[in-house]
Amino acid sequence: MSTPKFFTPNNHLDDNGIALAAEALMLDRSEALPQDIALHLESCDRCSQMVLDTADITAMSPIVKPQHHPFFDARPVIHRFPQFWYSVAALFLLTVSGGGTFYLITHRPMPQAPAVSELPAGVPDASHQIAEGPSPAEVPSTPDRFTPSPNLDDLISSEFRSTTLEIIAPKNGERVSPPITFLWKEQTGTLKLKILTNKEVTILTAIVHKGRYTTAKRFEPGLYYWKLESDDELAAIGTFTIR
Amino acid sequence: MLQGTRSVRIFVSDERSLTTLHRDSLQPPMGHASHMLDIEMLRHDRNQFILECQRTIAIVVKYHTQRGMFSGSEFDDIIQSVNEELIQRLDSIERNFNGSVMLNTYMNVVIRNICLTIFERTRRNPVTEPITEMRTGHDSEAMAPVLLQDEYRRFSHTMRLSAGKRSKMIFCFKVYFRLPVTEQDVQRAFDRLPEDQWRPVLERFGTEYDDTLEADNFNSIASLMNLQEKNTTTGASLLRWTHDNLTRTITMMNGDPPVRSHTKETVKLLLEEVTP
Repeated sequence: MSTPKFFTPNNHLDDNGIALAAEALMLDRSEALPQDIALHLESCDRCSQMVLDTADITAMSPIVKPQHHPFFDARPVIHRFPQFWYSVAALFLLTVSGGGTFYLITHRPMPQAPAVSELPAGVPDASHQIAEGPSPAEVPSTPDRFTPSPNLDDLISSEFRSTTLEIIAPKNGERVSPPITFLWKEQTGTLKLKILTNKEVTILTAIVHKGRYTTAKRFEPGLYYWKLESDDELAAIGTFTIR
Repeated sequence: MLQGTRSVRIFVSDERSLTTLHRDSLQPPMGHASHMLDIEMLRHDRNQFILECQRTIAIVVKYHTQRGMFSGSEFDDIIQSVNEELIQRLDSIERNFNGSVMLNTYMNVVIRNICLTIFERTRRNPVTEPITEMRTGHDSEAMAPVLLQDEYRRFSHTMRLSAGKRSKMIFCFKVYFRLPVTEQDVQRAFDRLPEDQWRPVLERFGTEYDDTLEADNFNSIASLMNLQEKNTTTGASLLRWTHDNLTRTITMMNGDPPVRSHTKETVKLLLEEVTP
């Protein structure tokens, strides 16, 4: 139920406002008048005259005083119901937002399951960054993030018979900052580029070609591995660090 | 109360038919102390609604006739004019009434406005016949208490419309007229101050103080009023404030157009008689 209006566009009391003020006088409930009406009547002679006349006239009319006035008595009821539901809604929002915030704090944004998609080489695009992440227990603390992965390091130091690619950038262990551009000697065909944490968790997968791929993804500080695969076979592997 | 057995002709309903009502039909049913107008009746049965309004119309017209806006001899003609105008306004009444007040009170406002419109349309001065002459069967002495009661009520209402400054006005008016103030007057006027601060004021103005100077009185009040209001007003400006509010009160009492003759003296008399 909307709040009734008691003023004209000219900021004087309308007939409802005049009648309400007159009833407030007759029922001895002036203190229950809305403040804007009371303040207006303190300064507006014209409206005050109308209220006084109406109260005089009403006093001449044999009208029974209502047990429950439609405004003075109904007002608390009108507001109690919405206030209750506003409180419930506010509590719900607080719970949801508080819980959400707590969840976000305790569950830092983690890479999720890989969703491989096409990306033109050389186009920076964070949308190809994949959400495949470790569980909270797997998230290393900052010093741990720089600990090399023995398995991946072995791959780097090994000689691959199938290696056909030469990495140009970033050089192994190179310190980089976003956007990161990966360069390799151009070869025909489509490759799959993967970026992994030092815990061997894949955090990005992208379909790449033309010897170039740029990502604007923001990485946590740490040591990362990146791989190029052709037909699920390792074609190249390198590392880079983020400070 | 309507007099005699003459008929009142009124236009009723959308068919614009001319209906004649006998005065007896306008009287409330026996045993009913009141009648309540009904918004549903306005929506669904306008003929009946107009009929139900007749007593309200008679009361409002009588009110204005008593105050000299209309002559007692033209009572029926005014009733007729009000009905014609009211029928024209039924749509806007239905549209604008928001249900926050009693429909009877709302109709009092509407019909009062119609009476003022009729009064202004004729562009005439208030009639000067003594108001008691219209009340056949009552002599002026018998009417005096009733009239006084009306004035007391209007004075009380006028003061209560100044809700935020009512206590200050009553106190200052009494000092202005050199009337003894009561403990309640002082307590209400200086409700933010401890008793030991306002008690001397009660001792000074609580009894006769005709021989004091007005300027001294208001200077002493102003210093205490400044404590109450955290203000820095002077006695002279407080006296001016009192005078301005007294003038406004008299204007309110007399009405617009002015149909009463209140002065400072009558306000003083009312202050002596009632605690507004």
